[in-house]
Amino acid sequence: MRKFLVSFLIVVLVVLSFSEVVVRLGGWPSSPTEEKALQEAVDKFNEMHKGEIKIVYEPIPGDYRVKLTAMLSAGTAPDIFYLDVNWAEEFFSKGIIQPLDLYIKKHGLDLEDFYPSLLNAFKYKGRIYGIAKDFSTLALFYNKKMFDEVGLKYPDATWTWDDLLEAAKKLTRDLDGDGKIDVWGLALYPDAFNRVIPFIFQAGGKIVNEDLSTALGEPEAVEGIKFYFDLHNKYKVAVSPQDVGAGWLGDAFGKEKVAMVMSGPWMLGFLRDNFPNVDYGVAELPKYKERATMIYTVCYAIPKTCKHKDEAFIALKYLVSEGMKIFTERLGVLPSRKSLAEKELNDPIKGAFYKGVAYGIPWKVPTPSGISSKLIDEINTRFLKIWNGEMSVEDAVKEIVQHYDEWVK
Amino acid sequence: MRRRVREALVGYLFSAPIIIAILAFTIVPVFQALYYSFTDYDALLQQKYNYIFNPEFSLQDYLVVLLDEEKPSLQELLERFDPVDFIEYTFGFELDNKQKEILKNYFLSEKLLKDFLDRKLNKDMRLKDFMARYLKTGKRYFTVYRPHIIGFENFKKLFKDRYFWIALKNSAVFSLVVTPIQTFLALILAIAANQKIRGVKFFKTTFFIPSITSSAAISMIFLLLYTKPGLINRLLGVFGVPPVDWLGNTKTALPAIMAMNIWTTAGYFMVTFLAGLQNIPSSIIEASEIDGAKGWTRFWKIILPLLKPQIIFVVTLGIIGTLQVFDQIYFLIRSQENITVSMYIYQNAFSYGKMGYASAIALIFFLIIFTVTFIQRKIMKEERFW
Repeated sequence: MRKFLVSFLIVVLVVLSFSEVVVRLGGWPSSPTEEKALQEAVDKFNEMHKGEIKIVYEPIPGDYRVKLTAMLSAGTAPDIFYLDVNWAEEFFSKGIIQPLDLYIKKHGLDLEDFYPSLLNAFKYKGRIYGIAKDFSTLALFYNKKMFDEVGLKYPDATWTWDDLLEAAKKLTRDLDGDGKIDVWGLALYPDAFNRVIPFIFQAGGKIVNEDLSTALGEPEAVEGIKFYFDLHNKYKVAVSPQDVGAGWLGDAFGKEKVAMVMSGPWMLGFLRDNFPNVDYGVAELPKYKERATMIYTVCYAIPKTCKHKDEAFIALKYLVSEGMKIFTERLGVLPSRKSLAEKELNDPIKGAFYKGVAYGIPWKVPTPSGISSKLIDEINTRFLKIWNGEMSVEDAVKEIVQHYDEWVK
Repeated sequence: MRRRVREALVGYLFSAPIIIAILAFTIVPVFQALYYSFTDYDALLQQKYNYIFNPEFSLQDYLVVLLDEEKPSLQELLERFDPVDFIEYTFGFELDNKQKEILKNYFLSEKLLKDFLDRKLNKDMRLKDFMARYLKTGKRYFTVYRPHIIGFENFKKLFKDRYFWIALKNSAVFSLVVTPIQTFLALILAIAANQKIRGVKFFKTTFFIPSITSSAAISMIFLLLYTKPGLINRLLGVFGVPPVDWLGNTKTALPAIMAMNIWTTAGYFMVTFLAGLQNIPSSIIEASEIDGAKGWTRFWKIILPLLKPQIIFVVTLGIIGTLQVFDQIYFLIRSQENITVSMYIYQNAFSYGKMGYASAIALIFFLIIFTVTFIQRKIMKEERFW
């Protein structure tokens, strides 16, 4: 009798576990904290949907895009996975991602609550292919102590390019009187198109026209690019992180080698953990003719090969609703929902990032083919040359405009 | 006879694991790369006929009809329905002319729309099964993803591609500079490590450590060494050399990585030379000493010729290794002007989505390495005299 009961129980359990639809979730874990936060959100879902749907979170470390491509090609891709706005369009344009419009209608998702710029970031030809899981924008980090030392007022929302330049000039100093500069006003990346784009938009330019041809040759765009590199080449108030022996902007700022950097909320945790004694503030990026910043965001998407799209969408919907609350609170990243962001809008540190989402541009270069990786490599190569003084801004732009069409094919 | 067959069979059975592994991971991929180099293969499209969709769902979307609320006539729907357009709209990929022709002539639109109106289509289906069901004929054009054969297009493009030539030049320079220096250095290290002095084990370990350290870790260390305020610039500063951003400058980036590569590989090849040195019978050395060969003469006339097999080995591996250098370039190079061929292959295959083009470059590059090694073996063999 007991034997029968045990085997009966096993059968029941097996049947139960088979009736549960498994939804695999893949993404790159940018830190162990992120892995934990997402797992926590997933666990909560699994508890709520016991016996119906089960999310299995499979972090994909390493070269995510290469691995995802291989998995998609082999037909073993997860049912929900991260796509970075920067290269997501390439995946949309090839038709491998499921448009979500109908599922949104069927299962209901209050799109109104999402920031419009984040929704648009994952739209392609009028359809929604992914929902933003969180976002980051660029803002101006400044070292309060250094500003006090030279008697400067802290940056605020009224700051313009002129203020930035004047402050940077004052902050670039020789501290020990040996005739060599010891601290600089700014640290910038020499070869990062995405950091130059805000300047292009601030100068009233844009990166592509309506018909997706390049707009980098326009005088406004050139003015923006020029100002960025002039900070280093002409005014000599900006250095690269490597110039001061730092790995990246956050490192250079934390080591107090530079007074200002333009970076994102990922700096907050880094500074807290590695440089807790640096007293800093965060302001919106300075404006010129326009106000602009860069938006970085990642979405959850479902591939067309997914076998249980309804269940996958229910899981996705949870991840951008209750799941997002758990995830963003644990990790300290910015939620893409207005209702979740509300209480942090006036936070002295995070406020600047939230303000940026209203006028920011998602970090992608829209092209007719959806492919922009080669283009970005080519532009960055030329930017590095400008930074090193091997090429003028005008020549670089001329080359970019001339070859643009070859690079986006 | 039967016994011999059985014996052979057993033999093959025992070696089957390695045969299968080599077939699956070496032979087949080589031929696949050869095939892809003549196509526009795109890995992301591999599963395109396995896409799963709910036909009712998609048809409602395409026809803008909600079956729960309205019941249009079949005639009305037939007028609005175009199979080519439907597939392209729903799946987001373009069909080729042959496929369009098949759809136009053999697609059973009426059957599909009837099933649609009868609510028979509310279930998940794979695209290829859907096609098998609603195509009168020609479903084989909708079962497996076949890249388009584009002949020699990839190769034609390659010869006009500026970056291919830059990458090729960089690889060649890399190999021509690094191979001789690393061979020479490895030889010196081996001779040093072969001395009978105190603490020789310590030196051997020190020389060898770079080659067992992970390339990523070494790259990160050198990233810091090469920065403007880094150790190397400070050292050069003592001699009044102004600081250089070694990796940021397109002119110095490649030489900087060459130096690092030599540092990591010299110790590895030292082991080969060390083994060679210790294999030289002491009788030969003694005999040469009796004949009056000392110091340099002994080294040039006796030891070096006896090390020839090791030199050939090291030079061959060195050339192949340097031509294929990838990881250090991947970690440290920032400008497209400084990439090597293997890096360019990787970029095309995995970030530019041009697998076919990448295969074409790989094929040409393979032919180059093959020729170089072949010539080198020819030259080295002729001089053999042992």
